[in-house]
Amino acid sequence: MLNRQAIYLASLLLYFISCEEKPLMLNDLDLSLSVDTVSFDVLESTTYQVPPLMGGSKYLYLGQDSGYTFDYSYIRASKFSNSQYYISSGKTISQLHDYVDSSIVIDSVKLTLNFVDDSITSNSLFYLRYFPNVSDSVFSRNNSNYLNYNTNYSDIISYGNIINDTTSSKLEFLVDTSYFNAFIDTNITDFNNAFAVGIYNTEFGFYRFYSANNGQSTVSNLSIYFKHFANDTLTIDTLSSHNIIDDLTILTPPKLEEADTLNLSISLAKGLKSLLKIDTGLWEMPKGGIFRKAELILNLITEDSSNSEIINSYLLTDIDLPSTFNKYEKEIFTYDLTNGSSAALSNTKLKFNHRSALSKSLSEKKSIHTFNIQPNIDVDPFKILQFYDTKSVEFHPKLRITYVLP
Amino acid sequence: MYYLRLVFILFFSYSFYDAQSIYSSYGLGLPRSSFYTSENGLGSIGLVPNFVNKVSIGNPSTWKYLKNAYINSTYESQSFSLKESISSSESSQFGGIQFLVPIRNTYAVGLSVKPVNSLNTFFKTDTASYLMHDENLSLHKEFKSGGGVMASSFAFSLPINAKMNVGLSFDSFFGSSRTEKSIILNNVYYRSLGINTFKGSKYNVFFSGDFFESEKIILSIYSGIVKTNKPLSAYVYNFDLFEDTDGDLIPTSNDFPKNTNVDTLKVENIYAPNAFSLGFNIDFKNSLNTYFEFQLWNDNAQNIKSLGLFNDQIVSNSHIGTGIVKFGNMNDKDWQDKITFRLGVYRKDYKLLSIGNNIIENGLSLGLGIKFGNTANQLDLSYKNGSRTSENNFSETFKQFSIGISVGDIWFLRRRAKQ
Repeated sequence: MLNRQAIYLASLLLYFISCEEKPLMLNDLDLSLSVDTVSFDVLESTTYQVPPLMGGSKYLYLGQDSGYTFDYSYIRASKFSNSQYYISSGKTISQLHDYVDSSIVIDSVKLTLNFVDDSITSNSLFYLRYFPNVSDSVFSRNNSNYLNYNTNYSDIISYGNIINDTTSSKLEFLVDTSYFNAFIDTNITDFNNAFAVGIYNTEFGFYRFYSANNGQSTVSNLSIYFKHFANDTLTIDTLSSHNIIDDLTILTPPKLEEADTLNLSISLAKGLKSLLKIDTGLWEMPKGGIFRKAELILNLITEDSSNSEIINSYLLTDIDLPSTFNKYEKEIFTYDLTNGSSAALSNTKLKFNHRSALSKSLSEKKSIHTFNIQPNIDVDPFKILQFYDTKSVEFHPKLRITYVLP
Repeated sequence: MYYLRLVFILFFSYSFYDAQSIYSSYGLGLPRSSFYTSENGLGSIGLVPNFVNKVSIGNPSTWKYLKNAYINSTYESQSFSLKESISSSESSQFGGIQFLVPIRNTYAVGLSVKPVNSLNTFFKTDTASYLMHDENLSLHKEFKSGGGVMASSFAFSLPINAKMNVGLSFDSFFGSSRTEKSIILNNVYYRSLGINTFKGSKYNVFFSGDFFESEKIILSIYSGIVKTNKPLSAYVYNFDLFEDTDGDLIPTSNDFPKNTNVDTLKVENIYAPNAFSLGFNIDFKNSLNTYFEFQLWNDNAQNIKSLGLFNDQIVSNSHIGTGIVKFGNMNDKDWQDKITFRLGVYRKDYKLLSIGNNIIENGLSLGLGIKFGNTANQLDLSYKNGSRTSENNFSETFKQFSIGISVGDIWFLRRRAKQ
């Protein structure tokens, strides 16, 4: 006898289970959906120069080499210590102005920068300045350059000592506590906490230090040694560290060579960027279609298959581009930062997928689309990458669109 | 929230994709004419007796002859293969569920839920590989559709006289369907999706009557009329093509474009079925019956575009079928006499709106019904084999196996007073 409840359950189970197996295989005769492609040659292209911006680099530089002058490295310490210290009154020592307390006495202050290379021996003289007369921002990693950097700094407040151990080298600046008092003035709780590190006697080219962008393990810091008088009989010697959270090397580039402007050149340390203009004419995406790719394709002049640098490209809002090389004191082109693309060089080809940018541009009924290209911040800043420009017939830069139609 | 609800429906619905006839891709797909295993086993459209003697569970006018109340449910499994294709497709799905209550051998009422149309399809193309601008490109396409129009039905029957009965049923349409068209380029899916939700209603009038009786036979006539009460309307949600970058089947901000456009429109008059059916049954009074049925069905709807994978519509269908059935009797001694045997053949002729050539469906069906338990529970099994052909179009063969369970109980029976 079959159990009635079991039958009910089996019925419900059958209701809810429907299984999918193999699909039918058809010949693609008149089925919808297809892929198509269209290409447009780049109409105009040129290179331009702006003051180099080193913000975001993994390294800080000081010294001179091959015509490049690394004038200063600006650094900014966090106003928060890495760990909090609790004093007997219940107050917490964390921010710089917290050190203003009757039970706290600053013994010494030390700024430490970590060299990238080890076993550093040098006759160069590293020095430190700070910015007691600047109440707010001292530098901007996106804007500060050799033409506009803030020189409202103090006289030299310390000279650096190179400390070598078995695996690394450090540059240490001892800062007199009288300077540090400017930091912790209770009237300036939001002090800039910024320093400028410079160098004299750069006989060995340039020096590299790890930047805050390289990660926590190599980050430089400001160490504050202090005494805490816990009570009449107990005095505690301790220290707090404040990491460097922002930094920037101020770099003066060398004069350009003729080769730098012959083709489409990009270079971080020289501030070289390139511009491209494309006219898509009357073409528009067929109704319902979407971009698979909208590749801006450039060809590297140098045959270097090992080259896999990452390059960035942005849609510009500007329509008119200069026809020849130009030098500007600041960036004059407006980037659409939400519509950028990055690409790695592969077999001397560079292909940016600009489908988002082109979708936007075409949706605004534009037929002229302008892009710039520039090195990513982690590219060797001294490398100059040159691409064929519109004068080349064989390697003419182009925009190749691949799209899917419903 | 509205958009999220749509996405949820879409995501949920993927769990219920089936593979079925390629002809389910046209508009709202193939209209179903049988819903239960006992009908399938006889190749019937449910007009003439197929469940037990004098009773078709698809024809309310016959329900008063039931001796028990029943809950019927059917589950189907199909296999399809195209003539042009070496592969076949299998699927399984719910066929229908019904609750029937005869009242004192005079009246009957019933409730049911059943799929009216079948939109379930899944087909793909072979992978083609070629070089496009220094890029090795592999390409194939996938097309899926699922769901369909469901009907919840209330029916009852009344006697006209001792030999004639009439049945009325009201079907309320509901349900949803979805379509997905994909082109796959180097394993990245570019999908376009569609969701449709349905609403509408129709009513049916059934008639049954014994018109001739002799010592050896009873000739009965059965008929049915289907009229649309409120043509099916649909809310149609068409998602634009998008690159399913994250492979989660639905458009999200991880895909391209980040914001997929959804066109929403209400489409009226997409399904308006009307039908006339007539059947004859000869009962040889030894449990053996033979029948003949035909049906003329047509869809007067005019706005069917963009609901299925192919923009077309089945506008009419004619059905003709015949077969024999030997009903089992629980009280017989031999086991073979307790079993119901069914055999039928049929032919359907579907006409499409755009394509000139009709789809011809021929089928042969076999079925068994095994009674068990004190309340005449019944386990029905059926097997159907057939083909659908159309000149200059797809030709397919199909096999269908269905299983139906009918659980009986006694309702509206006067109980004896306690002694």
